[in-house]
Amino acid sequence: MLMKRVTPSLSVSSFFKNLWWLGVLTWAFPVWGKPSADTVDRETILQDLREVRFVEASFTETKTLHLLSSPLVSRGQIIFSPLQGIYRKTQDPLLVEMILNRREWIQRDADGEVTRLALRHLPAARVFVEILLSLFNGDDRHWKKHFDTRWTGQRGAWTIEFVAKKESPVAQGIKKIILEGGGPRLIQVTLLEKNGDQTVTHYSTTRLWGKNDTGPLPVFPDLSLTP
Amino acid sequence: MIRQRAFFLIFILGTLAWLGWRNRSGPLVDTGLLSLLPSNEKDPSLAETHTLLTQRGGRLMAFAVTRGETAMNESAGQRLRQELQVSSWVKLYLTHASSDRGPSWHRLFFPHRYQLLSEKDRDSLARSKGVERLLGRMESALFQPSSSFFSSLITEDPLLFFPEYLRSAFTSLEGFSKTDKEDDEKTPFFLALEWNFDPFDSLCQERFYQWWSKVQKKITQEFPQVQLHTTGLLSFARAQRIQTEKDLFLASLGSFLGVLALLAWGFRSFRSIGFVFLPAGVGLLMGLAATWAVFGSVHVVTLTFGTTLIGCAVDYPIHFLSHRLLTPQTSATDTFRHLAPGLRMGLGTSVLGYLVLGLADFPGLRQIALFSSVGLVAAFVTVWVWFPRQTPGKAPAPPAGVLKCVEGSLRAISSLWHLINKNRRLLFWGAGILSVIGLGRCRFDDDLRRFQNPPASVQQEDAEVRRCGPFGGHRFILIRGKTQEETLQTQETLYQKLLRMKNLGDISSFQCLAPFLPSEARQNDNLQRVQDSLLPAAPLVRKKIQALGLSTSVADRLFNDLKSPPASLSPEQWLESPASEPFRSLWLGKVAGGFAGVALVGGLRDRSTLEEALKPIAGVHSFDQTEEYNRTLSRYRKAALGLLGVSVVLATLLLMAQYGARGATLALTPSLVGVLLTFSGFGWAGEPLHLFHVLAAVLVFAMGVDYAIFFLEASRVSELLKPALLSVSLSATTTLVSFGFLGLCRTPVVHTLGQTIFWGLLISYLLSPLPWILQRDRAVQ
Repeated sequence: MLMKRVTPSLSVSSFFKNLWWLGVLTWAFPVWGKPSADTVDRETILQDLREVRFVEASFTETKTLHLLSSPLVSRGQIIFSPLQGIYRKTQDPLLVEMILNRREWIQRDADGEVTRLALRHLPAARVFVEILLSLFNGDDRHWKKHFDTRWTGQRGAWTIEFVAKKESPVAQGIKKIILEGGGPRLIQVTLLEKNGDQTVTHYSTTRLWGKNDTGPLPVFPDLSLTP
Repeated sequence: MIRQRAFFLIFILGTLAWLGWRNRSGPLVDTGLLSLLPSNEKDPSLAETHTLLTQRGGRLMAFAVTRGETAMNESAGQRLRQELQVSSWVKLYLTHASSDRGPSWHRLFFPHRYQLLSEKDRDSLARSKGVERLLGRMESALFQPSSSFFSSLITEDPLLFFPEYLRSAFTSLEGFSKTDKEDDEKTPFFLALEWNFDPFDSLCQERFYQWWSKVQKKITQEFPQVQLHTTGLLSFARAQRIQTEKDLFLASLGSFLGVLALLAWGFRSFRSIGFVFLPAGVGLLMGLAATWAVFGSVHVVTLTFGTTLIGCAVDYPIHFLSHRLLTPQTSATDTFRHLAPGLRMGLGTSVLGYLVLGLADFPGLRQIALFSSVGLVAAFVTVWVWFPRQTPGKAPAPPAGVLKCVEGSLRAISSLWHLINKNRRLLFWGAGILSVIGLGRCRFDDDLRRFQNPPASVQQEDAEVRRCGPFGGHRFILIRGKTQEETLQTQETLYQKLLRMKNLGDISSFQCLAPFLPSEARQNDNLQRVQDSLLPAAPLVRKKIQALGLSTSVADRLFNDLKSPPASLSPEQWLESPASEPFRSLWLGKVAGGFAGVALVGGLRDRSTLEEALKPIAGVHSFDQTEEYNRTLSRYRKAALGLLGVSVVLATLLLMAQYGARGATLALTPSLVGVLLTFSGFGWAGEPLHLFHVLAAVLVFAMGVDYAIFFLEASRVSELLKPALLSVSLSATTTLVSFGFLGLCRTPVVHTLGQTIFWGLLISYLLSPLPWILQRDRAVQ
């Protein structure tokens, strides 16, 4: 009879303040689009995003953290699937793999040590996974709750700025997220934090799978196994 | 005699005054099942912790919001939480962090980060290259997408002991919440809390349900897609109370009207009808006073059973008044003198039966024995002291209808007996074989849940809420120690055991305070490990910190904090902090004989595995509330059954002294056959027997013997036959009407008592003329 459920140690507001989930947003923003549109049509882009089945890309990430005297640069690969979540493998300067899905966050380090945490214990992370996945389902309702968006440029070279709404708990940590794309590909994500930290993730060699594509698809590894 | 009456009246008034005075000092009705445990086996500390758990368990309530999208369920749930906040009925939220919870965790635990290590970090520090692993973790964290989170921590906790501690503490609880496994788009909102009021208080129950229906209406208007559900002991207690009240009201009304009609038909006098209830009232009053005086309180089981005493106590005045009615030429004093041997013998056998019940070392049975014995003696004394003087002179002539009925009954009994006598062998063997088979089919089931019969709507609500979150169905493990420190250390030993059991799949989840409230010894050991590993490796740590581009002040702070750590985290600090809110109910604190805490285990595969695992840990005791109750009920039932047998033997000896072996056999046969045939009937019907069937059998035996004794007396003095037939018929019929109505109730305990007593007494009554018939036949021969 005497029951209780565990709640996370971090409240939603403090979680947003601490921002760890923001990196997640910066890796996985490829866009599936149709070329040669003269103006940015939000609905068309959202419609295009719905077509995405899988994304595979290389990334180079430069973090400028206020507490470090010099920027940190890392490189690796990511796979994104609106159904399965995100797999990110940092290869340089050290090996770390990570999977984030609707249910949990799993990390395996270079020693093969696996850390798992249920997203139930990280409600804000869960909210953001929902947002990310819903974006790729062409549904922007989750974004609208937390961000004002500015869509500029052309469909062939566009920029979307997500400016955190003042009343949103997101604003306690994030100032702005800038997505830059060209055609169907996302080229760069810039994350500006309230404390001045900045993370720029550049994507290259992006490969996209649409709903009509056949052939072998990227596979999410089982991180609980020793590599 | 006048002096005796005055003395008795003063005694009754004095008792009444004393009861009134005692009642002012607080409630005297005890409802806890633990107080029924035998005193020599009761561990005071265990009893207290059991009581605490029972009380806390009773105050828990859970709410669920379902059917909507996840976000909508959450919003509606938050709305519900706001309403609860305004209600000021909530003592503690067991789920859902308050807005202050996150920072409060940081405030409480962060300063003690080197004393609160995770198992993984303890192992790392114990191994070679442990420091290098910790430095690697710091570097890895900075390159992670989550580095922003760590960047705010890393200046104060560069080796990230604190986030690792939190992760480990919460991971140990995984699986405890069913919703951990849910990831669909319609995740329900679940909220569990502890009330600050007594869920058995009917006023509070009604206030809560009025509030709940308003809140449900308000929230479903705002969020039309959602459905709100609630469950808890309060819901079940209220449903049971409403059902019992309704049942008892209808049964009381029915039986009151029935009994009134019968008495009006028999006595045609309001004064006589009033007289019938007077001894029963005095009996109840005296029984209550005696039990309060001896035991300090009356258990609700005693009270329930004791009230059925009315059925027994009204027999004395009915016998007296019936004899007055049918022997009007005899004076009231002589009537009582003629009746006295039978009444005394009936009283003697009943009191003997109850007193034997009190020989067992069960406070509950002792209470019932004292309550009933004193009540019956008081009822008898009332008839003895008052009745001959209150009904002096010549009695009025008996109504013609009554006389006609009595004579008709006598004729019917004679014809029936003639018929039975002709086929006695066939009937004896037929009934005997059927009874033996029926008795052989009897089985006992002491499951507490058989005493509950909640309405389907309450059960559905309960199932719906339990589907959404962890509520109920878990086993308690009590952790006790002489000191706080000893309790916390035992808790840590238990934690390791439970963790192993979870990894082996013996249990699916558990909740234990050990990671959140470590012992002082464990905290000192953790700190020692960190100091022993890091202080000698200071140059290596400083070098790595600098290489990553972190300020040298980060390393300075780390080593300063390690050299002058804060005092260990104490249970008092933990209890004061809002961070302890979700787990506070697991710490019972100071109890008799020391300190205690609780752990909860879910998804236990095999009870014996847990018992086996707990055996080597001193101070740990597995506790399942329902099982505990069932065991107590089973022991009571066995004791009551054994003592019923003893009381039959003693009653036989008493009757033998008065009527000889044959007379005693004749007097006992109707009631014994009544009990055995009733139990046999339950065997044939497949209804398992429990404590209340046995207690009802005690009553059947006590009353059934009285009926037979009056016919046995009538076989000695022929003038007593018609009055005996009238009095036994009236008292039996009134009792049958009362218990028949109770037997129709849906409340399981009331239904069982009513049904058993009805059938047992009906058979006893039908067989009660047997002593007279057989003695008459013998005399004729």
